[in-house]
Amino acid sequence: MNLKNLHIRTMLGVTMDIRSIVYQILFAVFFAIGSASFVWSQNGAGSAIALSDVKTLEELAQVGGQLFEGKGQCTQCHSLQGASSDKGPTLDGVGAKLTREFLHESLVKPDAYVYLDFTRVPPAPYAAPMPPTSLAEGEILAVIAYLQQSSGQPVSIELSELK
Amino acid sequence: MEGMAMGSGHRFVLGCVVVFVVLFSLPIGCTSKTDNAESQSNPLVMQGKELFTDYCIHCHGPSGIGDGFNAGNVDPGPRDLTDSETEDGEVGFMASLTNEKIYHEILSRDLLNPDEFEALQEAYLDAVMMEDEEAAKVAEAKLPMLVPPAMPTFKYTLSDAERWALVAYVRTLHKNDAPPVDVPSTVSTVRPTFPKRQAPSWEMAEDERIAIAESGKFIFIDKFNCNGCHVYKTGELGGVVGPDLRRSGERLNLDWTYQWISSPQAMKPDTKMPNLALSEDEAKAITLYLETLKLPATS
Ligand code: HEC
Ligand code: HEC
Ligand code: HEC
Repeated sequence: MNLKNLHIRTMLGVTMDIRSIVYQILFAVFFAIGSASFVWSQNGAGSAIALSDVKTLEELAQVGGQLFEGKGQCTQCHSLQGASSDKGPTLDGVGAKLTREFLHESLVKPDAYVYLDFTRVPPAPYAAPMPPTSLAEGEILAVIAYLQQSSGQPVSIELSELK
Repeated sequence: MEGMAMGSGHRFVLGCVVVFVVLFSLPIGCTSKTDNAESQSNPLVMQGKELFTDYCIHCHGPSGIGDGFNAGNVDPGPRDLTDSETEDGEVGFMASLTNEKIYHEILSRDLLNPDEFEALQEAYLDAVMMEDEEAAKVAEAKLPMLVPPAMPTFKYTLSDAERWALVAYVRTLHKNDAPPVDVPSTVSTVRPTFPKRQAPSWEMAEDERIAIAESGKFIFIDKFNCNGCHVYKTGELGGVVGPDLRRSGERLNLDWTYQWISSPQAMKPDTKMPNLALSEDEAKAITLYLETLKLPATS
């Protein structure tokens, strides 16, 4: 439209490569600060509930969510509601899809039924096989509660099972 | 808590790795400005080729010759789409088809219940026996081309325009005299949509459940040929395009199964499983059949 602007745009084009590198460095720095503060906020205990203090199914699912992100290390391979990794299948909706018994089996005996990556031709196992979880039985129930709740399902665990 | 801190430590390391990857990969993206000069060929054919890769090569193979990784699991085997002429020089099956026939009677057909099909066939044969030419003509028009259900229909998965693009691509696989595919501009480019269905109640008497599951098994195999893509029973022919269903009864919740098989695309838009337009009763029957599939526990 106006000549001055056009001129500036061509100049921008010429210097694009340098500028983009600067942007990337800036971006990387912000990203690093962002993830560091995220990790920090996770560590600053704050709202973490202990499994032994759980009084409602709501809290059970919340503990499950903490274990899913933290000790269980599930987000290293799975995506669920924002957290993202494609080393394993997405777990969005998995609490509605899979039965409670099968979810339990998936965690303790993942090799009993291996779900393949169906986007590949032909379908093939994911590169990193799922390891049997090191979570304790009560913690596994909490993770199942979390998977069910985040799929909009009623939680099918009774608090009395936690003993 | 110790375990938790360790998890977060890992995340920090992961974060750093991501930062470096981002840092180093982007400049590459900026400098590689080469245009894809070859994409000059017919865009309709290109679109068809892409769809063929997503929905057809598992059976028909990347070149269309019928050697996809799943070819050995469907009966009859997938058609060789490169079939231009027969061994004795006659026009080959594929070359003999019109564009309209491929579009309407193969890619856009409705699957028939085996007994519906038999009834149509009988009406036709009766008319021929009675030498009633008029009636034979009427019956023949109703009788669709006999494409086995092992070849899924794509009428309920892809848009009209996408199915025409597939015809255009399939036409490049064999020699033929058909005119170039010309898609009218009025053709819909919107994929059919099937909103997520409300699952029915699963409460019922045991004998009713068994009877419905039995009818579900029948249509699973004979009408929809779900086993063209899924293993469902040890020792029976079953495809490997989708998950092994032999443990469905232990693995899947009934509501979820019902909703998935009624409208896979409503739950996962890019899934390769086609929508086969199951009625509510059919979806219910197949869900109850899948509920019966269990394997003895391995320890
Ligand atoms: C090293 C990567 C890895 C980690 C860590 C991991 N998984 Fe998995 N997970 C996979 C892979 C790969 C599959 C698919 C293969 C299979 O079925 O075992 C899978 C499968 C599953 C399934 C079954 C999906 C299906 O449809 O059958 C569930 C449920 C699951 N994971 C939950 C979890 C939970 C919860 C955690 C954390 C406690 C976790 N996973 C940790 C890689 C991982
Ligand atoms: C699950 C396997 C499978 C998939 C997926 C599949 N086909 Fe087929 N196809 C078959 C079988 C089986 C036949 C029938 C062979 C016969 O009639 O003897 C067939 C036949 C055909 C025919 C010829 C019709 C006929 O009467 O034989 C065409 C054309 C065709 N397929 C195109 C396609 C296209 C295009 C796609 C993808 C949109 C596709 N197919 C996906 C298995 C498959
Ligand atoms: C052309 C191949 C194809 C056909 C035909 C087909 N499916 Fe599928 N199916 C798939 C694929 C691929 C998936 C994996 C879904 C994904 O993740 O995209 C799947 C997933 C499923 C699942 C989920 C299984 C699990 O354990 O996760 C069920 C249940 C299912 N299909 C049932 C059926 C039924 C019933 C029919 C017949 C009405 C059918 N399918 C026809 C390809 C097919």
